[in-house]
Amino acid sequence: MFRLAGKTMVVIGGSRGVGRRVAEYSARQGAQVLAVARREAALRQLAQDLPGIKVLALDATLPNAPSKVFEVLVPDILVLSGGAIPMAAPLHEQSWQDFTVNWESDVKIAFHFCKTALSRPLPAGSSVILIASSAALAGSPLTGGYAGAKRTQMLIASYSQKESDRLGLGLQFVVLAPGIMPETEFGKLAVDGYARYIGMSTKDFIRAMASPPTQSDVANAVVELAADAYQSKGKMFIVTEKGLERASLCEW
Amino acid sequence: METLEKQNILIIGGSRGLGLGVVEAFAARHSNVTVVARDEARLADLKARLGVSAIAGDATDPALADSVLRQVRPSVLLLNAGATPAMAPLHKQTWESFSRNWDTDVKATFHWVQAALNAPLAPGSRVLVSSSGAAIEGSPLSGGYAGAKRMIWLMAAYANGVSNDLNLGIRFQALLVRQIVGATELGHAAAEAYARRKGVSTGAFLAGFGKPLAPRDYGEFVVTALTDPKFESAQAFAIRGETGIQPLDA
Repeated sequence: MFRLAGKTMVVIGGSRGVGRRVAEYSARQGAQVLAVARREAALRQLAQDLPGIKVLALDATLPNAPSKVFEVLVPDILVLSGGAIPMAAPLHEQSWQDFTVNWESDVKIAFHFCKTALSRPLPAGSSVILIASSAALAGSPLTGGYAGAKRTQMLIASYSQKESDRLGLGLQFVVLAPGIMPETEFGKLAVDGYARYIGMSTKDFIRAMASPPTQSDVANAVVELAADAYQSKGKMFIVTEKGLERASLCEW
Repeated sequence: METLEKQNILIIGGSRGLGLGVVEAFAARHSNVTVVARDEARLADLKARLGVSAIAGDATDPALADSVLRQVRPSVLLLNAGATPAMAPLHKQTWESFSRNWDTDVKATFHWVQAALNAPLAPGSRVLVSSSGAAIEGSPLSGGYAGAKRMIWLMAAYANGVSNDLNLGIRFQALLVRQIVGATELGHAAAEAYARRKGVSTGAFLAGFGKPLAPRDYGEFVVTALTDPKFESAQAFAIRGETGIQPLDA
């Protein structure tokens, strides 16, 4: 059974990492997918590897990015997975530019797309799935402003849900907070950084991590939520290798 | 800290609001208080009224942080500088208005915390940063305010990690006021917006928080945090007019 048959999906940050996996799994489940990213070469590769997925090259942090994307495809499901890879260094060794890189990218993307989802608005029944990080809950001392940026993404989803409910727009905002995925480019960097920091080998550090999710776990979680977003609206989920786990909402 | 008398206290953002309440509380204890703020007229008034030292400057300027810390050598640094958020729902904000508290509060805290670690301040020094109850509850009409305040709370924890690793003996602690303070410009603007949203009067909305928190009382709670040994090791404090100051588990 195709769980996303007849659905349209836009994946921001669809050319690499989790976003690419989400695009792939969702297309396999019957969704009509548009993958959006900045780097054209990576998108060309994606289109070649996965025929049937449409691609669009643009900078998602620009204020007019949402309207440009929605001109190409109005999504039933909008997945926000794009963002920057922070520098791994302790607080006193970061520059302000290093520290603020995820605010200027991840948060900006979430802001512009959620704002447009509310003010355009997207058709009733549409859902926005925001991929944040468990760092938003636990902090991440070696990656500058990353955890605060991810926390702010969660808040944006929460505020947007409240606003949609108040205005009767019928949109669903859902947050996924995966832990470090050691297989991604960013995950590798984080794991190496933390292992070095506490004087452990990278292998031992990964072994000591409590059930780290894979990109596939996260992509499967997105498909699951996208197929039944109404049940999950306004909620946040932690992703582990064991699957989705509902996180407490009273404090986020 | 047994006494605040003759201690060098540096307060960033102390010319109005809660910061001013702290300046008054320290001045009353005969500390050597230095206030950094932008508004020269307000600073001149503070100097005349309370006998404190004043330095006019932009709290988000890293060069200012380095030079002032070297000059003042404070045993207590209170980071209180921040912007008043633009009050509007998310989709009525611009990116600039949404980012205002990140670009001001977080940036200023970042530079001063970094300067405190890199100077470094003397062992036993205390650095208090200003987070907010919004970091826990969220603040849907205040743009990126709650996220910025969460970052400031996290930064105190990160800075303690660095202080431990480098054996600096500097203690970083976050202050979270867990109510809207009607007496400050920022609090009043927030109270008006949330009251309007709820369809109640500003007065009724503020009454919902119980006993109001006066800026001078806030100053006294900060003094308590520094002088009562039971507050020495906590990483964060919750402050309310009703219940005073309490250690807060992250």
